[in-house]
Amino acid sequence: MIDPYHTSFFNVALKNGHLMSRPRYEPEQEFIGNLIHELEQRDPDFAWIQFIFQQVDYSRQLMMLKNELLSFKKFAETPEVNGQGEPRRRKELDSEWYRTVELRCKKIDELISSHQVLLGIQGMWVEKSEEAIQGISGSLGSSPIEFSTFQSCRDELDSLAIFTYRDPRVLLELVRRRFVTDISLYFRKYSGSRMESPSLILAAEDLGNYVHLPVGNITQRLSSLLPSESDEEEQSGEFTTFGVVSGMDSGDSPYAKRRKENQSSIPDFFLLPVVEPQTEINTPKGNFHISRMKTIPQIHQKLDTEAFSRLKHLPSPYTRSFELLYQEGRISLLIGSTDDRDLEAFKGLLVSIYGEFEFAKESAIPSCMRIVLELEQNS
Amino acid sequence: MYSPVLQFFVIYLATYRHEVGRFLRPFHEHASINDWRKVLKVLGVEAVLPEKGPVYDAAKKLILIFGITVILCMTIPLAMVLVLQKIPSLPPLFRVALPILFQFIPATYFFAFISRWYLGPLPNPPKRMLLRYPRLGSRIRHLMEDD
Repeated sequence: MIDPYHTSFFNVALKNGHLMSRPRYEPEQEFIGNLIHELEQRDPDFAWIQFIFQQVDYSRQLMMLKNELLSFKKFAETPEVNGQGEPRRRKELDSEWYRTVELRCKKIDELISSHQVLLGIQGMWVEKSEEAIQGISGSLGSSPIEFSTFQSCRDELDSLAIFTYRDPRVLLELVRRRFVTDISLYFRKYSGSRMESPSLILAAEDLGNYVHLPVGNITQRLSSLLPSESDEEEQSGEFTTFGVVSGMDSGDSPYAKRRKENQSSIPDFFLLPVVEPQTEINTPKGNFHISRMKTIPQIHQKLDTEAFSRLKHLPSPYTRSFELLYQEGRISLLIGSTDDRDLEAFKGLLVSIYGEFEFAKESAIPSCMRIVLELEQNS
Repeated sequence: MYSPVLQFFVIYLATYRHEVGRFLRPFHEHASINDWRKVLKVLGVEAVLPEKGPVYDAAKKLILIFGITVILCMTIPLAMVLVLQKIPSLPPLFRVALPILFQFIPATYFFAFISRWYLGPLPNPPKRMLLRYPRLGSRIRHLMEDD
């Protein structure tokens, strides 16, 4: 039975709605590892986190926003004249809004000078059954979802925050992998009654901070990544085992060898998404191609700078997704795209960076979610 | 004069002055069991649902609140008329202004409900570096936009 009392949805956006902010997680490459670790600690019945991204060009809106900020700066610096005709310092000069204009303009310049990507982070959370039982006897409105991993993503201007919803329509958006691609409204309202944009504008090189496989020392503590008995059976039979591998940077490790082989065997034009002119790509409803990683490589050392920098090629003109599914102490990673050829390119890029691993086709509504929510297909 | 409609609009304009068009694009969640049923139907799946959802049907509450507002609208002027009759020395301006002012009571009551269940949180003041948090996220504005 679906328990709407203990099923929440969320999205992650800028806490203070400063569109030009580019929050980052420190230390680099540990975001996903720490997020999985936090999921394990919280141990919900089911959790689904989607990172949906697409190449965009918001340079014009960013430039207009910069002009607006500079006009305000000029206005604040122009002395006002009082009743006696004497010039007087404007009170706007003492405001935080004025003091941060230059920093915000600098951030806008950085975004304009790089390839931009729009990132939507959204998900679903089903509380543990025991908590649900206790919750019913207590308050009906459960507490908002909290992830310190997201809240630690910040820059000088803003930080990420989680916005919790009870609205089941978010589930439709999750299944259809839809995120807000038109955020012009939030540019227009920036200096007025500002609200946070549901999607973040990032530079392409920032995307690797959020979309990457778990790497580093943290992976040694992640029990949800270890192959389960059923996985091991599956691997020893038909599929190649790609389990715990350490020392990926050592030249003779199986991982490094495989990565080198893949880099040489996959042509660059296949790995790097073709940057097409900014044309609107209409996604038919439900037409999203999803693949699940059969096994998740456990990489105990971080990627080298060169390999990590290749993650900047992740965004494509097509909408892509990177998803984490948590159920019964196990993590699954899904990737998806609105175009099947683009999905192959996405897989190819990940393989070229992290080495060979296999994928299996997954339905729009993940099978584990059907089990948790006891969903049945309508005949 | 004996209805709180004008007062209601005054309160609306004062509180939503930074986003006057909010009533055209309200900002609230749809989380009743009926909404869950609709979503599952669109997804083409079936599941057992409890009888009540975390957010009860706003329509039922609206009827109740509207009823209370009507009662307040009727009783306040009536009480005012009775009170004013007992004070014949009161200047005519007060005789007109007091019932108008007292109509702010039912107007505020009704407005508080409409704001919570329909219009959504008050807009943020302009040129603020920090916004209130926690708050209802703007993602809710874009749900099922293409449907």
